[in-house]
Amino acid sequence: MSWLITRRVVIAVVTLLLATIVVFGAVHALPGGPATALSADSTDPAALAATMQRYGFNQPLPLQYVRWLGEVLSGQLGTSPITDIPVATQLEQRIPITLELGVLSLLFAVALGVPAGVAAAVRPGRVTDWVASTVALGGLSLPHFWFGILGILIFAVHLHVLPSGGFVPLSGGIGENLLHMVMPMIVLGTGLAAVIMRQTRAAMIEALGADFVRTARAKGMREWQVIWIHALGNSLITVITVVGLQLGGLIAGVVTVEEVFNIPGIGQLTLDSVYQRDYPTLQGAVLLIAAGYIIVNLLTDVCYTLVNPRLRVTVTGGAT
Amino acid sequence: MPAPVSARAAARIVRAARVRPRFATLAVVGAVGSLIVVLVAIFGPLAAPYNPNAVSFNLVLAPPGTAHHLLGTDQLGRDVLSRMLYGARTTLAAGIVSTLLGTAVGLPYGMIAGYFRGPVDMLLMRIADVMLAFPFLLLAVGLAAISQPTLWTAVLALGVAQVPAIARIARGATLEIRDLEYVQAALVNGESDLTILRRQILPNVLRPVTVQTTVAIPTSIVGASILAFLGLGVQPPTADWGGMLAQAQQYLYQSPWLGVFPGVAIFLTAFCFNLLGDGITDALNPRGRR
Repeated sequence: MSWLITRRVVIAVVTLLLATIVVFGAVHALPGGPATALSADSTDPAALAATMQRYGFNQPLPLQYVRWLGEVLSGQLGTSPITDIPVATQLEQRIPITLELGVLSLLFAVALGVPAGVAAAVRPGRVTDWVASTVALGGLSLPHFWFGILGILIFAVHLHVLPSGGFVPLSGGIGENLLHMVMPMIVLGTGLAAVIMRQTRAAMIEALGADFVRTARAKGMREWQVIWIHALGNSLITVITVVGLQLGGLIAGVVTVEEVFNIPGIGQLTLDSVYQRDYPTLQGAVLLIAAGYIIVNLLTDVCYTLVNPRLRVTVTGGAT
Repeated sequence: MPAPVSARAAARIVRAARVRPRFATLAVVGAVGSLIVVLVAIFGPLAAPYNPNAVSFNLVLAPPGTAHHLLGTDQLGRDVLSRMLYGARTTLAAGIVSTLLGTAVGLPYGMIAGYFRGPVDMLLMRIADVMLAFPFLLLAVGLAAISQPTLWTAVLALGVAQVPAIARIARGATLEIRDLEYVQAALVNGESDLTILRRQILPNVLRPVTVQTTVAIPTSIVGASILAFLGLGVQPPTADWGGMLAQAQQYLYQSPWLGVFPGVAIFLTAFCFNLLGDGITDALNPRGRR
């Protein structure tokens, strides 16, 4: 089994390395190269040459890539030509904000999705199931940004009960901090809650029909124990895997939600660096998101291997 | 000789309808709703009362119900109903075309990986893994950095982002089939790899891929509107539901309805396609949710 995990780690490292090439390649595929874009204001060849010199764009591409990779590995990601702040510093400031938003949304989604999925699965095809499934499908169809706009319209503009956006750091009081996070958390968590509900429902229906559940019932176990401990315990494996795979969607959501609620996180940084053509920052932010995604996938894979005994013995061809 | 796939699928839909009448009703509602949206996208512009880009500064931010402007006008006095009708075309086209693009690339990609296995499979799937690490939004961000964002860069980003998922499904289905006797028989018969892929493998891979494709369309529709909203897709003044919402954001205090109509339209469209997709998944994939 440790061999299997080692293999997954190696694959993740290779994927990450390929990702750095993609990010680097994308930025350098710009017509005229990033130097032209950085000195867009002047057509002066001397200014262009100076920019080329300053950022090392006149060196051969592979050499530039190796240099950038060195910067990535040393934790320095270059300096933003727009703000003159090191990219690593900018990322450091914004990571906690995005993480808070992401973790709160995930908690909200689990708190809503798992019980709803269980309730639907206990009596499949009946009214509870029908209502929960339809509402979940509605949640899947809801565009984050519009849900956010509606929330602002209702709770900030009309009812004045919640702030319309912005971010208050923890130093500004935990109450204020959380108050500003309520709407973004609900908006970002709803889609994920829908996915979790659907997965929980499907896995629970399968588990409730399994032999071990019949055995548990035959032993005279109480129904709530059968449902919430035996069946749910076994269903969570599937749910965790699918949720891990869904995090890509959560990332897209983070960017839009940060934009709608004006939260200074990684998503806003990424968008701003596109609008301002700030390539070092863009490279750093995109790489960070891709790395986060690969690491989450790796962790999901490893968890799955650990909890699923069947994967410990049989090793099938390609990684799926 | 087995019955044609469509006839068997129809029979399964009928059977599923008998087992789970409520869900089947929803699937029909979804199908009708999706059809209506598609018809609006095709014929809506013909029915639009005004040119969607006709500016009229005498009548800006008119509320819904104003004479001659059923849904009111926006900040430039443009007729909201006309923009909604034209916007249906842009939004829907982006969602559907990108999904077709993703399928057109992902299907052969996954089939080749599954059919040849070994190093080819390893290489192709690692590349797919890397692509999976870049959600569509990052791809769109990258494309917007390289060139000016347009409807087509949005379609490209949304389409490319779907390739890995479709490729994985096609690969899995191919792996299941490629060792079956009839494929071996064709191999012994001396048929070329291309012929086997096309005649023996493709028909069996199409079903799971169709399921994935129907499920992906509503996601792409929402995705396209997100990109337009962020300014990474369709650019103003082209009418698009996501773009309309982006502009409405500045006028929410005076004219909240500008932020309501396009959003409701995106939501209902995605909802209908999701209902339809669920129905098709149920019907074509009997092992799925029941």
